Amino acid sequence: MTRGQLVKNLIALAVLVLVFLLPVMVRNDYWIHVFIIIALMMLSTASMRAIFRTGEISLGTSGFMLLGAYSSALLTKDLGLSFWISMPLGGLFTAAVAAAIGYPFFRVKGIYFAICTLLTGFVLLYLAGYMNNLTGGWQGLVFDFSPNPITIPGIGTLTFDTDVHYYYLAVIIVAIGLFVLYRMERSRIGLVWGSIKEADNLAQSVGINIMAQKIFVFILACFFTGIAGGVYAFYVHAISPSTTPGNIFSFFTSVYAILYMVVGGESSFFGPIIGTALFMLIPELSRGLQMYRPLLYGALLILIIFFMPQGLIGLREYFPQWYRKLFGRGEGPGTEATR
Amino acid sequence: MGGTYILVGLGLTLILSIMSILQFAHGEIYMLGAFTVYFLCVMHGVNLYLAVFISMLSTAVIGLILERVLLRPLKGLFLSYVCATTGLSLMLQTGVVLAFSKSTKQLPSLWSGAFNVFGIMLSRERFVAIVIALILTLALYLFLKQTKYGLAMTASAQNREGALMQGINPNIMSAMVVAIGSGLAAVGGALGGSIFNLDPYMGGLAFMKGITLIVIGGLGSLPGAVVGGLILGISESLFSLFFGSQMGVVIPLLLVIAFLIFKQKGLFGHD
Amino acid sequence: MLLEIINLWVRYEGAEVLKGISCAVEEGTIVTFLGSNGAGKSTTLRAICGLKAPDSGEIWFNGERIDGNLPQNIIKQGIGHVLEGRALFPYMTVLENLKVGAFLQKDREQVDKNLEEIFANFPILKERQQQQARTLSGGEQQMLTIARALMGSPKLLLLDEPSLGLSPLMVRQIGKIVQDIHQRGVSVLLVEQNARLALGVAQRCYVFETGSVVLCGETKELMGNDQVRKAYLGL
Repeated sequence: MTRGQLVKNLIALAVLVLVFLLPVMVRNDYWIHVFIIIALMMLSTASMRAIFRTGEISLGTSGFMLLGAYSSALLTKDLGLSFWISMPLGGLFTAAVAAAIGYPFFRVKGIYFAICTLLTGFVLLYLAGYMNNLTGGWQGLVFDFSPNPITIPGIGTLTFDTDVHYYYLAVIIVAIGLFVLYRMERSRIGLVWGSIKEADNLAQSVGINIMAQKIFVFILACFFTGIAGGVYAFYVHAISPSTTPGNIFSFFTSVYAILYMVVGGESSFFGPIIGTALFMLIPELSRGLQMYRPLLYGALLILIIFFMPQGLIGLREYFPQWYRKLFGRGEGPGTEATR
Repeated sequence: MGGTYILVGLGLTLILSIMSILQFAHGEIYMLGAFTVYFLCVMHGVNLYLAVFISMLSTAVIGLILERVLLRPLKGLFLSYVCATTGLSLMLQTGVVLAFSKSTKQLPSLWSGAFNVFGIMLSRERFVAIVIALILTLALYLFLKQTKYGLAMTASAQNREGALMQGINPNIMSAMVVAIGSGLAAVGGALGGSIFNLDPYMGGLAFMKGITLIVIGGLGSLPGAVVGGLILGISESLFSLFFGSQMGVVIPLLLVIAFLIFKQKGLFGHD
Repeated sequence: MLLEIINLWVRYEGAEVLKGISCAVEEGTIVTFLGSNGAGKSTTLRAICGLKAPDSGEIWFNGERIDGNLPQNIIKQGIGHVLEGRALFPYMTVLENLKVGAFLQKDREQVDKNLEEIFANFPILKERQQQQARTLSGGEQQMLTIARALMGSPKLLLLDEPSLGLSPLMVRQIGKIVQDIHQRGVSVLLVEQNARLALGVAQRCYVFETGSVVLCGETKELMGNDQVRKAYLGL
C-alpha cells in the first residue's frame, strides 16, 4: 500500500467513525434531524452528479424523490407492506418511471433535456396534489407507521422510536448508495460515462451505445433518489406537495442539488458531497441572522463561484505541496483523471 | 396574463442566444422593476406611467452593472452562471424583503374600468398591458432589424466568431443585451404588479413562465417568445376552464414535454 | 511590410500546433499558405486576428504589434477575415450580412459606396439581397462572405480555404475574385489546400507542414524548380 493510499484509507476510516459517533457527540435532536436530511440529499446530489458525468443535467431530483416517497409510503399504507420491502420497491418504481421517460427524453438535446426533467418534476408535484384519492391531494399524507424494528447482530436493535435510530438508518442506506455510485464511477463504466461527456462522437465510434449508457445511469440515479425519498417519507411521517422553497419536493430542491454539485466541485465524486454538507449547514448555522440568511447564502454562492470556479474541491489546487506531502507523490492535483 | 411574461421571455431568450447563459435572476429583475414602480409611485407619488418608464431605465442600468460586475468576469461553464445568478436572486429577494417587508402590495391600476365590447367586458388595464407589451416588442424588433447595433446583436446570436470578425465587441453586446432584457422585464413586472399584486417572491413564477414560453417558441427566437407566450396563456386559460386552475398549469407543461420529445426544438428554434 | 509574423508558437491544450512560424506579407501582394489539413495554416490566421492568443512570438501589422490583442481591436486596424466554413449569419438576409460587415465603418457614404461596388462586382448578391443567407448555394455563400469582409474596407484580407466544397467552375471564379481584390489595392493572405488555385494568384508562398514552414519563396521560383513542385506542391 502506498503512502497515499494509506493516508486516504485512514481519512476514510476517520470519517466513518465520526459519522457513526455523531449522535453520541451531538445530543441534540434538532441537529440529528438536520444531519439526516443532509445525508439523504447527499445521495440525491451524488446521483445527479452521476447523470452529469455523462454530460446531461437532470433537474428532476425533487420529482424523483417525490415518486420514491409517495410510492413507498402508499405501498405500506394501502398494501400493508413492511418498510423494508416498500422502500426498495419505491426505489424500483422510481427507476421504472425513469426508464420509461429516459428514452424519449435523451433523444432531446442537452438543455432541452434539462428543461424536460425540470418540467417533469413540476408535473409530478402537481399530479400528487391533484390525485386526491390516492395521494391525499395537497394536504398530503400523514402516517404513523414506522419501519419495523431491525436487529443488527452484535450492535443492537433499531426500534425507530427516536431520531437517532433514523439517523443510523439514513446513514447506512446513504453509505451503501454512495458506495455503489463510487465503485461505478471508478470502474470501467465510469470511464465510459466520462468519455461520453467529453466526446460522444468518438465514444460512439468505439462502439459505445450512448443512449443505453445514459439511460442506465439515469435509471440507477433515479433509483437511489427514489430510495432517498422513501427514507425521507418514513422519517418525517408526513409528506405533501408544495412549491415553497422549504418543501423538499419543490423544484428548488432540484436547483439546489445542482448548486451543491457546482460549489462542491463537479470534477470529483466527493465534490457534491462536500457541497451538500456545507451548503445545507450554512442556513442552520446562520439562524441567528434571521432575515439576512438568504443574503449570506447568495453572497457565498457568488464568492465561491468567483474565486473557486472548480468548487471547494479545487482547494487542493491551492496547496499542492501540502497535498503532496500528505498523500505522497503520484497523487494530487492534475494527476487524477478528473473528467 | 401572457403579456407580462412575454416581456420576461424576450429578455431571457435574448440573453441566452447572445451569451449562452440562463439568467436565473431574471425573475428577480422583473420583481425589482415592479418594486421600483411601487417605490416611486406609491411611496412618493410619482405618476404611474412615468414611474414605469423610470423603472425601465433604472432597471436597465442595474442590468448593465450586473453584467459588468457579475457576469463578465465569470468566463466559465454554463453552470457557474447558474450558481452565480441564483445567488444573486437570493440576495435581491432578501434585499427587497428588508427594504419593503414581505407583505403583498398593490400598484394603482393602469386604467380602471372595462370596455364593453359586444357585450363582453374587457378589462381596460389588461388591454393597456397588452398594448404596452406590443409596443415594446415592436420597438425591440425595429431595433434589431434597423439599427447597426441591433443587427450586430442578431449577428452575434447567429454566429459568434463571424460577428467577432466584423469587429463587433462581444462585451458591448453582452452589456446591451442584459440591459435591454432587464428593462423589458422591469416593465413586465410593473404591469404584472399593477394588474395583480407584488411581493418579493414573485420573480420565481415569472422566471418559470418565461422559461416555459421560450421553450415552446424555441430557444433564441424572439417571435417564438411572443408566440410561446400566447400559446401558454391561452392553453392555461383553456385547461383551467375544464380541469381546474391547477391542472390548467400542468397540462400545458405536459404538452410542452411531449412537443419537445417529438419536435426536439421549439416552434421557431434554430440555435 | 504590412504583416509580419516572427517566431510564432501556438499551443492548444498542451499540443504544439505552431512551432516558431515566421512569415511576412508585403503591402499590395498576394501571399498564400499551402499545406495539408492540420498543418497549422488556419491556426496562424486565427492567431493573427486574435481568436487565439499565441504562446510566444510577435505579430506586427502596419507597424504596430497586435499579438495578444482582442479580435475587435485587431479587426479595427484594417484586417478582414473570411473564416473557414464561412461563418455567415444564416437567418439574416444577404443585405443584412453585408451591413454587419460594415459595422466598424463610421462614414455612411463610404458604406453606401462599398455596397454599390460589391453589388456591381457580385451581381448575384444584388439579386438575392433579400434572401436569407442559408438559402444560398455554396458558391454564393462564399461570395457573400468575401463581400462581407470587403464591406469593412480592409487593408489585408485573410481568406481561409475559400475553395472548399466548391465546383471547379466556382473555384476559378474565386481565383478571379481574389485577383480583382488585389487589383483594388487590398493585400491578400490566402490559405488553401488547392495548390493550383493558390499558386495561380499568389506572388509568394509558404508551405506548412505539422506546424512549421518547410518552404517559402516567390511563386515563380518555386514553380520553376521541378523537384520542389512535385514534392511540396504536388503539381
